[in-house]
Amino acid sequence: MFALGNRLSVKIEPAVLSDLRNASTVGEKLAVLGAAGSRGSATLKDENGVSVHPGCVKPFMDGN
Amino acid sequence: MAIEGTLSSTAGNAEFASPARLLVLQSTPFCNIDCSYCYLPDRTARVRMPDSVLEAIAGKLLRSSLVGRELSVLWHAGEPLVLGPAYYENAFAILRKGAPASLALTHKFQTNGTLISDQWCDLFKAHHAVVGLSIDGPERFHDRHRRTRSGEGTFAKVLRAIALLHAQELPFYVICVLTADSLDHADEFFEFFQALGVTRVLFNMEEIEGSNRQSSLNQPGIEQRYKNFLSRYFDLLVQSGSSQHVRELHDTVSNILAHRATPIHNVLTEPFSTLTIDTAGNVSTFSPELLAARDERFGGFAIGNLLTDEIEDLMHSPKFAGIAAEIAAGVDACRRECAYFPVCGGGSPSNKLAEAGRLDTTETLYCRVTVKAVTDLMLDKLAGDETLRSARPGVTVSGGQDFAAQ
Repeated sequence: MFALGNRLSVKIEPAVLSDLRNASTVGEKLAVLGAAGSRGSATLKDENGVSVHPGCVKPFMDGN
Repeated sequence: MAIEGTLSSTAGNAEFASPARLLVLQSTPFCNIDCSYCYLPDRTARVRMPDSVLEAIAGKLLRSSLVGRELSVLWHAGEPLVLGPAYYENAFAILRKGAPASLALTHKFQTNGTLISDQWCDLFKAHHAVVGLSIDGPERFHDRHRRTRSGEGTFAKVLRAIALLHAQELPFYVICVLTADSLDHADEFFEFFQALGVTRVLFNMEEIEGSNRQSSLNQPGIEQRYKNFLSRYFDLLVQSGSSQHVRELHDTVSNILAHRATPIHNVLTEPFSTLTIDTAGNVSTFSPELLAARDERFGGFAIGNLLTDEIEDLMHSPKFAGIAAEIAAGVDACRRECAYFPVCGGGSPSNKLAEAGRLDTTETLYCRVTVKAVTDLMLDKLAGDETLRSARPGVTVSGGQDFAAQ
């Protein structure tokens, strides 16, 4: 686990890290982490332990 | 017409299954300063959105099926604060009166900060408005690009605005435009925002867009320099346990981890996810910057006018269908060709138009810098490169596979 500043933390299970390091392309790496994220083996949580999933790419400014 | 499923065959089979997320309102195109990289073409025009347009927004748009139960209203595309607090007291009242009682509106201002006063803070506080402040880092970077028309820097006034916002405990975020000059100074930028007590930072790149036809970032090797900047910023963030939330870092991690469980929504490529309305009531969707853009084939990108058209007219206008179809073709091409599509969703139409002259193209400078370079960086960080392993005092590495940073 590592902290992204004092508000968010990332936790990735060792087996996922191994798969990630063995992946060679961007597509493979995203597939590893996307799958791990969907089954809870890789998480991003706030200071209250709540998962953070904006699920939205490039919001315009910070307007949403 | 319920906004569910597929729009129509004339819209390039563009789907818009979710309601509008963001309404960008141009209360005025006028701006009291003259930034070197501004993309807005009409920022000397002293016009304002009249009550008639605000009433049409409330009576037509906010009551339409395009809008769900909550909506962010972003006052932008000019310097909104030049109109004074009384203008917005009236505007908020018109929108509230005409909107359904069940609709939760959140007002947000994107401002250069030079006009923020106690009176403005009172309005922000009374309406729980969120403030986005433009500041390009330390003075020597900020004042190089963000100047008045007489050439004076605006840094001191923005600092005063931040002090006022802090004094009244008002939430705000900062937008910092990065130019080529900035990229070798991550430490200086980090310490600057840290010292200012800024907790939410959005780094925008200097874009080729609208009336800004050049970017200092349009040069070989810029992707690596941008990546280096954010990499160092990330390391400083982790090492210090800073409370800064940096959109480019945090949201990219989130998208990487969440894209399979939660479909990525690109608010710039989804029809009617974002709506933009200018002072005259002209409406556009997709990238907000498109409303002021011009193109030989489409002319402008307004799909109708709220004073004369009904929402149904906008949704079924030939102009909308043509724009939507070309954007959808571009998104499809991105999906086929780009490995980063799962965390991007098809790029930014306004950047495609500005850089390639069309909406159905794929990679842009904007993509290479803000999507590809940042995703590559965060994939490296998540894989646990040496920088991250040693990034924070007290980190222990367990079997070379895990991290503990507490």
